[in-house]
This record gives sequence, C-alpha cells and structure tokens, in this order.
Amino acid sequence: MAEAATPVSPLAHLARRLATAAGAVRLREVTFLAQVNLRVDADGPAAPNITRALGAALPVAPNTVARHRDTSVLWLGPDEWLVVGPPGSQGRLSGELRVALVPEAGSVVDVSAHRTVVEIAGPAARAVLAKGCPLDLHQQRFPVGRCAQTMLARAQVVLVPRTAEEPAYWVFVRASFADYLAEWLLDAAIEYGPGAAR
Amino acid sequence: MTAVSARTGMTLRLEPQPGEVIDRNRPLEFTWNGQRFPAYHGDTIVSALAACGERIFSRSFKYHRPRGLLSASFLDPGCTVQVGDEPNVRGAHRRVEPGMVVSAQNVWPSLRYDVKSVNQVVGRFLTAGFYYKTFIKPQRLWPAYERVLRRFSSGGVVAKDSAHGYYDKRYAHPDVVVAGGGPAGMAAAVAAAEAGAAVLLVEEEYELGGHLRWGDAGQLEALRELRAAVAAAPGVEVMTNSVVNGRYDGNWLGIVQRNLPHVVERLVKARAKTLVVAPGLIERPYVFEGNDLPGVMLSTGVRRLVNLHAVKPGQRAVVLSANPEGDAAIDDLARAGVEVAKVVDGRRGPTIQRATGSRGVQAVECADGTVVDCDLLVTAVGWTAPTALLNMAGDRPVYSERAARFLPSLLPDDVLVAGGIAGDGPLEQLTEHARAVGREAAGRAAETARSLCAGIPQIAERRAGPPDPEPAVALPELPVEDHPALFFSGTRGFVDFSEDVTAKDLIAAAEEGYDSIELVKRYTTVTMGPSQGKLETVNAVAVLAAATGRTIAETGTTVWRPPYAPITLGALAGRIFEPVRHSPMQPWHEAAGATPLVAGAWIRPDSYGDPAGEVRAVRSGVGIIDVTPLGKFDLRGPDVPELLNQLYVNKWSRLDVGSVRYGVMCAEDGVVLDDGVTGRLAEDRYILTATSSGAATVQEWIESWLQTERPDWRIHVTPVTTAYASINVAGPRSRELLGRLVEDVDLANEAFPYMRVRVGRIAGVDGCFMWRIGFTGELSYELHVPASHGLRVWEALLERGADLGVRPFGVEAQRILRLEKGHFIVGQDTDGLTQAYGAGLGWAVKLDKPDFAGRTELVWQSRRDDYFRLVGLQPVDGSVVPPEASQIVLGRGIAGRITSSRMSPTLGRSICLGFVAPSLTGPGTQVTVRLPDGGEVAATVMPQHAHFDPEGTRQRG
Repeated sequence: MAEAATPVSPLAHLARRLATAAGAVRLREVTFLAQVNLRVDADGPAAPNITRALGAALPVAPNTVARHRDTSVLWLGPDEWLVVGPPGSQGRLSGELRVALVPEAGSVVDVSAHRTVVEIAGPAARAVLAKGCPLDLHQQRFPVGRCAQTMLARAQVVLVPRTAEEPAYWVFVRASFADYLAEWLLDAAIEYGPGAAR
Repeated sequence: MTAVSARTGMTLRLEPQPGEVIDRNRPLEFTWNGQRFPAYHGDTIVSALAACGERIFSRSFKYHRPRGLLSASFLDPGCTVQVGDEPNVRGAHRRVEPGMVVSAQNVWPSLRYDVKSVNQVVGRFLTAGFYYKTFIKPQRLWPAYERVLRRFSSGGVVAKDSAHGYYDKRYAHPDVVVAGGGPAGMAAAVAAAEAGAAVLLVEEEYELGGHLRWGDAGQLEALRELRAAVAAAPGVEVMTNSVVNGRYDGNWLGIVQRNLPHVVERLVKARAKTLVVAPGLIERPYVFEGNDLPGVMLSTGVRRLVNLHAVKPGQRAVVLSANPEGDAAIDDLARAGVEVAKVVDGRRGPTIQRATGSRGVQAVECADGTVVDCDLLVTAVGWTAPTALLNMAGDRPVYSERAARFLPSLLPDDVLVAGGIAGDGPLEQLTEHARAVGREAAGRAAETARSLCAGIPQIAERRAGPPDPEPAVALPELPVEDHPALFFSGTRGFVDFSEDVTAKDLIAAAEEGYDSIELVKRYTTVTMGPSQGKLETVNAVAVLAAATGRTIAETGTTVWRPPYAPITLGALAGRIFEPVRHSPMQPWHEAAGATPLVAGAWIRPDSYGDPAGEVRAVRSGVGIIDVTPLGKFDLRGPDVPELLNQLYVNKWSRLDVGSVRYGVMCAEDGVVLDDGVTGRLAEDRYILTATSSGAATVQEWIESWLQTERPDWRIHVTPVTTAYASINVAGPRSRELLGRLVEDVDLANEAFPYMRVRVGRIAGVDGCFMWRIGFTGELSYELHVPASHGLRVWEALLERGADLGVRPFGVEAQRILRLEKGHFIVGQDTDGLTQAYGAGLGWAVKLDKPDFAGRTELVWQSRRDDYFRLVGLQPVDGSVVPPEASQIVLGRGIAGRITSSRMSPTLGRSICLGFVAPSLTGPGTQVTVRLPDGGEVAATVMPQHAHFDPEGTRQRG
C-alpha cells in the first residue's frame, strides 16, 4: 500500500494530439508545475521574510512577474500572488512561505493541481490566442515580465509570455477547463498546422 | 442537378485587356441552372455568364421581372444567385470556381419563363405598404399569409444538412484601420504605416485599386506604384474581399474577412485607435421608365465588365453621360466594338424618357423624342457617397447641391475621411490628401496609445504605439466639383431594385402622408434590401423631395446603421465551442459508457446505464460517485468563524479541529442561497463547500462580504474546486472498502464518527482529506484528493472493492438516494422566493445570533405562518410518479407543486418533495396533484422529508 502514486495531468489523454500541432503553432502541456497561492500585505511585516524566501521581492506593479532562478511570482491582485516553481517544489515552497508568513495573517495554499499549463509557441501563437482573447498581446504591449488574468475562449486563464525571441506563452487554465481549452486551441490552430496546405 | 449540355463558348469575350483580372491560361467549367459553362479563373459568376451571352440572372423580388447586370459589383441587385447550398451569393462579386453549381433564385419553374411574373399584371395591388394594407387583418389568417409570402420571397434555399464550414473570429488591435483599398485608401495606409502605425487595410474587392483597376494606361501605372508602396510599407496588413461592417463606440469595428485559404469567413473584432473611411463613391442609378430592364447598366458596371473581365456588354448602345466616368465608358465601348448609336449629354439638359423591351432593352426613347434601337443603355448620372461608417460614428452628412451628393459634416477625432467621400480632384490631389490623412491618423493613434499606456509600468517608457506625431499640420482641403443633379426623368421607374419599389410607390406614400424619409423607408421598404441603400437612398430622397415640394437638403437622408453589407450567420456564430468542465475522472466515465449530464458548465455522469441498480448497490453494499464539481474554498485566518457566522443561518463559533458542520446560506432577503458543509482541517485551515452550481455565486458572496462589508476581518479565501478531485464513497460497506486504501487514519466509528474530517493518505496519495457526511443517507465518506491523483484513486477504489461489489453511481442515482432521504436541493426544491422556514430549515436558523445574512427577513418570517412549505409527499397510488413541477390544486386554486419526484427502488413506490399551502402541511393531509395530461392523483403529506431511515441511524453507523 505504500507504493508511490503516479499523478495524471489534466491533458495527459491529449498529449499525442497536442503534439500534432507542429506547424506555425506548437502546443504542449507543461505538467505538474508547483503552484502556490500567496495572500499577504506587500508592505506588512512578513514581506521582507518572503523576499528572502523567494529570492525576489513580490512584484507590486499590476500584472507583472518577478523571477528568481526557477521560480516565478505572478501578480494576481494587490495582496495576491501565484508562486510557480518546478514540479515537486510545492512542499518546499509552501513550507518556506508559511514560515515567512508567521508575523502575519496571510495565507499560503498549495494549488498545484488547480490549474495546468498549456504552452503555445511559434510564429502564429499570437494569432491563435487572438481568436479567443480580447487583450492586445503584441510583444510591445505584453512583453516578457508581464502576466494577465483574462478570458481565452470564455475560459478564465492566466497568460504569461515566456520568451522575447519568438511568441511563446504559458496559459494557466483550471484543470476542469483544460480539456475544453485544449480542444479549442487544436481547432484554432488548424489553419496554421502542418496539415493546412499553404 | 446534372449538367445537361455545354454552352457553345465565350462568344462575347474580348481580346486581352490591359487591366483584366482573368487568367486565360486557366480555363474552367461550372454549371448554371444545370447547364455547363466555360469561364476563366478570375471571372465572377456573372462575368463568365455574360461572356457566354447570358443577360438575365434573377427575377425581381415582388414582380418577378427579369433582371440583369447593373453595377457588376457586390451591390448589383439583379445578380443574387444560389451556389451549391449557399443562398444569396453576390454573383457579380463571387469568383467562379471549377465545378461550381450555380442556380437562379426566386424563379419557378425557370428563369426564362417565370410564372410569378404575373405579379406585374396585378402590380397595382402590390404597391407601397402592401404588406401592411393586405396582410394585417384578420390576424387569424396571418399563418396563411405567411405561407404565401414565403413562397414569393426572394431568398435562396438552405439545405438543412449542409455542413458547417470553418467560420472563425478573432480580435485585433490595429493603430489605424483604413476602410477602402482604392487609391486614397492605399495612400493613407502607406502614409500611416510610414509614420509608424500598425495598419489594417480593408478592401471589399478581391484586389486593391478601386477605380484605377478599370482605368487607362496612366491609371494602371499609378495603380502598380500604389500597390508596390503598400507591399513595401512596414506594418500594413491587407484584407481583400473583406468589409468593415460596423463601427461602434471607441472605434470598435466589426470586419468580415473572406480572403483566407482555410477559413470561410472570419469576423475580426478590431479596436482601432483611428479609422480612415475611404470607400470611394458608388455610382447612382437613374430613375426612368424601364430602368430595370436587362441591358440598362451603370457606366462603372460597363467599365468593370470590359476592362476587368474582357466581356462585350452589348452590340449597340445609347449612353447617357453627365460626367467623365460616362465619357470614359464611351471610349471603352468603342474599344470593345460596341456601336455607340447615340450619346445623350446629361450636362446639357433633358435626357432620356424610357427604355422599352420585353426581356431586355430593345429601344430607348430620348427626351428629344428620338427613339433609338439598342440592346444596351449606359447611364452615368452621378455618385452616392457611402457614408454608412460615418453615420455609425455619429456624423449626419449634409447635401451639397453643387456636387449633387452628401458630404461628411462633423466627425469624431478618431474617424477621418479620404478619397471621393471627402471631396473631388485629380488623382494626385486625392492621394496627396490621403497621405496627409494617413499621417494624421497615425499621429492621433499614437496619442491614444500614449494615453492608454500611461501609468502602466514597463510599457509607458517603451514605444507602445506609433512614434510621436510630427507637429500638427492642418489637413489640406479638397475641392468639390460641380455635378448636375440628375436623379429621375419622370414619375416612373424603379428606385429600389432589390425591393421592387418604384418612384410611383414613393409618390403614393407621400400622398398618403408619409412625408419623412424615415417613414417612407419603413412604409415602402425602400433602401431596406440587400444593398442597404447604397444604390437607392439618394434617389429615394430626391423623389420624395420632389413629391413634397422640398429640397433634398430639407428632406435629409436616412441613417445608415450596421451592418454595412449583409453578414452570414456563420460569421456571427464562428467556430462552435461551448466551455465545458470535466473532472479528472471524465476519461474513465466516458470509457465506461456513462450517460452524460450537462450540469451548468460541467459534464457529469448521469448514470452508468442502471440508476435503480446503482441505488441498490449503495443501499446494500458500496458505491462511489464523482462529486468533483462541488465548490471548494480554502479559508485561512483568525476571523474565519466570524465569516461563517455571518454567512450561515446556523451557529459556527465553536467548530473544533476535525469537525464538519452542515450550513445553510441565505441572501439578505432570507431566500435560501446555497448549502453545504464546512470543515476545520487544522487550527487555521477551513474548507468550505458549496453546491456545484452555486460555487461561483458563493465565491462572489464571500468576497463581497470580505471586500466591502468587513475588510477588517483577517481572512483569505482561495478557491480550490479543481485542485481536488472529490469522490463520495457511500454504503454500508464503505468503511470496509476505505480501510483497504487509507493508511494513516483510524476509520473506526469511535475514532472517526459522523460529521468529522480527517487528513490522510489514500491509495498512496498524500494531502487528502475526507469527511463523514451523508447526502445519500448511508454511511459515507467524501474523499478529496489532489486532482492529478483523482483518476488513480477512483480506479483503486473500484479495483480494491471488486469483491465488495462496489459500483460507480451517477447523478441520477444520487438524486434518488437523496430524495429517499428527504434532502432538498437548492434551486430544485427551492426557488428565488423560498425563505429558510419555507424550506423546512427552521431547525437550523438561529435567530439568537446577533447578526447573519438574511436575519432581519427571517425574523419576520418566523412570526408568520402564511408561507408555503416544503414537505415530503407520497402518492396514494405508489406506482404513479407525478412529473416534477406538477401542480397541487385545492378547489379551483393552485396550492403547491411537486419539486422532486422519483420511483424509489428501495421502497418500491413513488416518493416526492413538494411545496404546499399552509393549510395542507399537516402530516396525513391528502392533497390533489394535477398531472400534465389533466388527470389527478391523490398524495399524502408525510410527517418528515425523509421517506427512508428518518432517524438517520444508517449514516451514523
């Protein structure tokens, strides 16, 4: 009974089909990222501890991202952040953040399984997202270092641009909507896929 | 329909023309009304047919008169055809494709011999307002009228089984949108792009160029240069065969894009910082008797046909010309080998009286009395400025007597005009003006971008849009040239070809008192056809002005509204996707053949084929159900008990660690809002659950309290609904099953009693919590496991419980189980008026709490007894299941309704919950339930909601 449990990611059943989007748009699921929801007063007594724990100050400008090594901190609200780390680091991150939080009544909640991430990359990535996202995602307006909580195809998502070299985005989507959104993205990408005659 | 014969060939095809758009190296074939026709790539449907000598392409809307080419453009009212199963295709615009199956619409039995042309004879009954006069009364006959009218309507046929094409939508954020890709539009787009703007250039035709395309050698050279400039300009996106269909506040534009290889149509929702309107001018038809005969054409139509498609438009022509375009058409005709029998100069007085002929023009009677035999009559009498987008931007164009057309008057800052809509002048002057407009548009877009991005870090310091504008330079003025005011030659002739409205109809309407153009429009339907007034509006205004003794300026014009051009439902619908939510176990449910149930956005298993069997498994052994959609919120902070006390009607101040409590939430009006259990997992950690459908409302409700009412409370709420997969394990053997999977929790009744929560490890998965609650009325455990392990735990439960007879059960079985147990469902057994006492929740309401949401109202309700109450009901005949929402009647009045009803597999009889009037609530009262078929059954009010195990011993066992 002590066998290690193997997790199943929300889009595991679509991995093969996502891989078929290999033209001007590439799709893949980024699985099992550690995600910790942090609620704290950025000016409160716990903030210096949190900066020490994360290695970076909490970004206080709306819709921005702070990065330190393999950890990103996404601004979600005036007192809310999503801390994203590599798979398996949620225990460590939550633990360190809880310790850092001690002087204050904030909250640290492991939400790693709450959302999964779909990476959409390639020259036509922005064109595909523009089919369902009303924000202007042009890299001048939405460069690396920003994030946005918005609707994509009527599903709530958090968008994070990943690189400046070519359009690439992480789409954080709730696990329950992931299947729907992946199907929507696959359909939206058809015209840019290898199957579409040019 | 099979092709029956090939036509002899393109007998009216001209020698190659310098500006032609057909590719003579790519011949093709298509069918028209079942006959095969040759064509070239680049032909429109109608140009290909015209090249083969066809002259009639449709029958008119009301009178079924034969109609041919008029403008040879998208707007051409006589060229609407059916292509395959696509109706209402603009035959003078749509390019013909190999194998295309084209047929005439609105004809019976055939285009040549149309029975409904009898309408011409009875035309006096179909005059202005004939719908209103003829078909309004008596109302009971309307269905009959409708059937007749439908047969006479001009629409094509939509096959019910036609495949849904790939229609699409997207958003766009251009700095500058240029509507119109003629010379002015191209010049404006290039200038705006050179000033640093991201430009979207939208053109209705298949190519950029506007009238230059059918111009002389000099104009063709200018066209080449402009196209090269567009191609070379950085940041110009060109959409051809596309149209800006509407302009809304803040330059929110709807653009229908049709130039994509893999997409039938795409609706582009663009937020443009500035809009440049450069649609050019539309040639206006002339109103005279016989003006709709095939062979009567506009000069631009003739020029398109000759120069773009190399088609000879007739053999012998009369030309009425009042402007240089008409004069150029005379040259084109001569070059095409058409004999120009007579030229009437519209600048010098009287023009033409009437055209005669039966199936096409055979003769023209001029104002000087001469009659000229001909098969082509070309008119060039002036222009309409298509100011639709300006109207939508709030402009009310004013009539210029000098130019005999409407001109823009007051535009908002984010809308500019260029080209013929703005004024006249030689090409160089118009393009120079357009360049200035383009630069100005880019400058204003940059200002807008700066104001939008001000204050946004990382963006404000960057260049977020076009570069700073150069110092403002006043836009050059365009002159307005003289043009004779030629609209009609008498009181006969068609004003609106699409709707079959004649000048006489408008005059009759004026005589009946409809003296406003807006009223005449609605009464006669003039300008309401597919070309939406672009050919008809000014003529209608001119006829009405004459009929009422006013000037055109005094008469004014109708307001043009979206859409600019007809739009397909496909473009409005886009790709067919509806957001749905799945639990991590969904692949298993699908593989197991579960019947899906749509519950809000969630897709859930309704059953696995046998709901009654699933119920029995739970009552006798053990079953598992996927309850992931249950709303779950992680609550932290020292003031959580305060919040719970405020939200729920019952008491929450003393909830020990490890305990779970059921709670009912009411809105401020005392109406039941939601219910669920909340557990305290640790000193500072609570999990609150809400119903699946109420989760979003509950979250808003909580945040509303925390953010606006009690910001002083130290509480943080994190929604975790999809972070956990939730499984209810129910049945007398659930403890036994769980014991095989849970490692570090003592499941014994004393160690883990009813209404307690434990945190532990299930099937090797850490971080799970489970609580003992009983919606089904059985011993049951609700497991919440990290979502990525949900499927594994689900499978492990089935695998490890195989010898116990474990079965998955769906929502239907759960609904039966809970009804047997008498548990109500918010929204099913309550409605928007059900206050807590009415739902039988008096036991939970603690009025001795100083405050909670809904308390004031509930105090009032507690002092009354005049409200309907939820009761358990059992039909006397246990084999009858009254459908939900059946009424309970008392005498002649309604005294309640059935809210839930099922056949109980456990009791072997039908059971219900229902609302009854105060006088009927006593246990044992017999009520009368009226069934939907009118029959009535008797039912007995039960002493409690629960039909099964009212003492609740099973769930505590």
